[in-house]
Amino acid sequence: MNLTDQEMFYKCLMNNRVDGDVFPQPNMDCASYFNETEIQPFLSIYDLENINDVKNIMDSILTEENFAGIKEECIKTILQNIISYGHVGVAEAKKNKEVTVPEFIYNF
Amino acid sequence: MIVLGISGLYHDSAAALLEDGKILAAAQEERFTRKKNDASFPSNAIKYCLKEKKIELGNVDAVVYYDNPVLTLERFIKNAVYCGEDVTDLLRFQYDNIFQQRLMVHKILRSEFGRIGKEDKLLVSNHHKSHAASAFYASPYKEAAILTIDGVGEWNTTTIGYGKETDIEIKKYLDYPHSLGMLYSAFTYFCGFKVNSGEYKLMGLAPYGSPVYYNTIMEHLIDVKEDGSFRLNLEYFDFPYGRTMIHSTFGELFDMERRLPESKITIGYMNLAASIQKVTEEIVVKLAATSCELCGTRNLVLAGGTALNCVANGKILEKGIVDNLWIQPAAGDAGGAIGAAYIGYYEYLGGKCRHIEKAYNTYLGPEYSDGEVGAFLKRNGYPAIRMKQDRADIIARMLAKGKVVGLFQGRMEMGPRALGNRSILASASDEKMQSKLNIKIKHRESFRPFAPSVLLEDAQKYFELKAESPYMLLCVPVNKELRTDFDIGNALKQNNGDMTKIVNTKRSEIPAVTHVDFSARVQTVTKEMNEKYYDILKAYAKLCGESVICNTSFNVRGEPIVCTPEDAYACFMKTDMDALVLEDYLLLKEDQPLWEARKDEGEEYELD
Repeated sequence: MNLTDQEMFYKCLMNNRVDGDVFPQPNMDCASYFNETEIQPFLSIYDLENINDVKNIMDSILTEENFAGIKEECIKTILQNIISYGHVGVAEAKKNKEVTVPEFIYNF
Repeated sequence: MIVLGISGLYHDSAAALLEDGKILAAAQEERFTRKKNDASFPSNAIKYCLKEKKIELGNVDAVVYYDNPVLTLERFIKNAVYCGEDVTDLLRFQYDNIFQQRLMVHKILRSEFGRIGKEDKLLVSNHHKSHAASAFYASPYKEAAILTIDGVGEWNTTTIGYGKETDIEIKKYLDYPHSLGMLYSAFTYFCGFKVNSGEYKLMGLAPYGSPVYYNTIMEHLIDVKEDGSFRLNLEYFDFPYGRTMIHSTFGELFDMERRLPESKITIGYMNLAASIQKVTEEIVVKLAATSCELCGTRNLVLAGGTALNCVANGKILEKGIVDNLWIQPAAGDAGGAIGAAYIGYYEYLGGKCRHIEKAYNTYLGPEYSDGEVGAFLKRNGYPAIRMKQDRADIIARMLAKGKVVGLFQGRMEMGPRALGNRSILASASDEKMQSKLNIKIKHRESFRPFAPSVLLEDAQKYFELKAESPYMLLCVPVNKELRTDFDIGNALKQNNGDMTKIVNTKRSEIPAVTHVDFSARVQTVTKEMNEKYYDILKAYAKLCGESVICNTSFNVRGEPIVCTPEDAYACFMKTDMDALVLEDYLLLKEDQPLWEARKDEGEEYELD
């Protein structure tokens, strides 16, 4: 199955291991390495529906006990910044004004 | 509508203030803190910008940070996954930068300035979108292809966009870790120069060598497609691990070891520099062609750190790919502040006012009135002569006599190039001047070339120049009839590869500004762009019959360009400069009291 870059990243995060190449390698057979732009709001990339989704991602990355502090900080800063910054998307700022910030983030 | 743009916290922090589509003020933090490429939060630069408009931060319409730190965090996490067992170490390494600084810009702003604009909210742009905006909105074009190339910003390393009137659309991009900027930096590191500041030294070293490693690089390190897109072979690079730029296999590929900083530069490193420069030029030219083709226009604008590679920029013109080329003078991350301000105005606030000017003004920093300079001189008891109508003639006469003159006037330049307001000037026709300026004035490596300033109307008498170059961002050949029969290959052979022995060899009728391959990084000067500087060149031309002089930035090695009269005076006294012009005051070295550096000034700047 051909996974998109973002899907592969998500899989890597959830499994906390490198399943194949994390970064794409040179490919002599293709004509171009350019990516086309598309709007990928941060929230949709991670498919975040609730606070546990965020915690699960961070748990899977930072497995060591002594990184509990970083883990907490990481979750907090991501969520707080989604509120504090003007937009959360990847590309066209003005087009992302409609992105809705889930309610759970405000309550974190 | 007033917008503040902020960049930094990685390197080259800066701020810019815009009103109704026009940049009013912009400056780099390094100029105030006196720490080169300062990455700290640009508090001083912000204060300067606000002071220029006499406005509080809480009263501006929008505040925009140039880069989305959440996306950068995403890259850090993915990068950590790539590194496998080093995940925790890597995150610890990056923890402070991302969690305490980049993700905390809003908190830092609130703590230092109270309210963040009228809505008390920090807006963010995207890194390459900021670069793209800094190039397109400042350019003189209604429509243009936009090419941005740098090390990395969030995920992107290269983008192609299209700009029309008040809109920018990013059409294609390349992502980390496949980065032309990182590749060039890897060679910068291997050749013993500092990453993120020594790249221009590698570019200056390249003409001494031959591109004998070109095929090795193209076969092993990078795969480049016809459209200029590329991928790196990660087996040779270590930068994802955050330790060094390259893996041990990198040196094995060239059968060389990394050159130790400050050690002798041998022919192998010159050849490496020439090889990576050739690769870079080829990729940049292909990307430029693809950009224009994709966007259906022959106007091209450039930004991103790689756009400071003036030799590659010159190749775009030489190949005839574009009709018009414009490069943001603050092409690196500092210019991201300008781009962020434009994004705030055009994208967030829906601004419609576009100032399309033939001559974009890059003199956006602090200035000091004659009264302020006079008070400074009086306070310190520094002897000076007040010049009047004869100011340009006096400076021209000193240059004609072979004197080295520090010139401090008007508003400070935004970006890495000194363009006549914070410059050191000298005769271009003195064959010993390159060596003198490098060693006695700038305290830097003797091989490094100097740039010419030339009256635009006379530029083609000296250079094979196909377009204006007001920001010193195009490298072009010196006219053939001015050259000597110097040959760099033979010269190195005769001197056993010792480049220091050939820097004084005359290469043209303007030897101080002619590099060993007969190239020159030209600044064309017009009255419209800088009247006072134009008058000096005009007076020099009247006196000597030559309208080209040597212009280098007013600083010594490792020091940011001077900002204040105090900085300028200290730099003047620490070097062998003969005279200093502070606005309308002339200071001669022999008249000055014995200089005893204060303790804080006595410390050497960290070598760049």
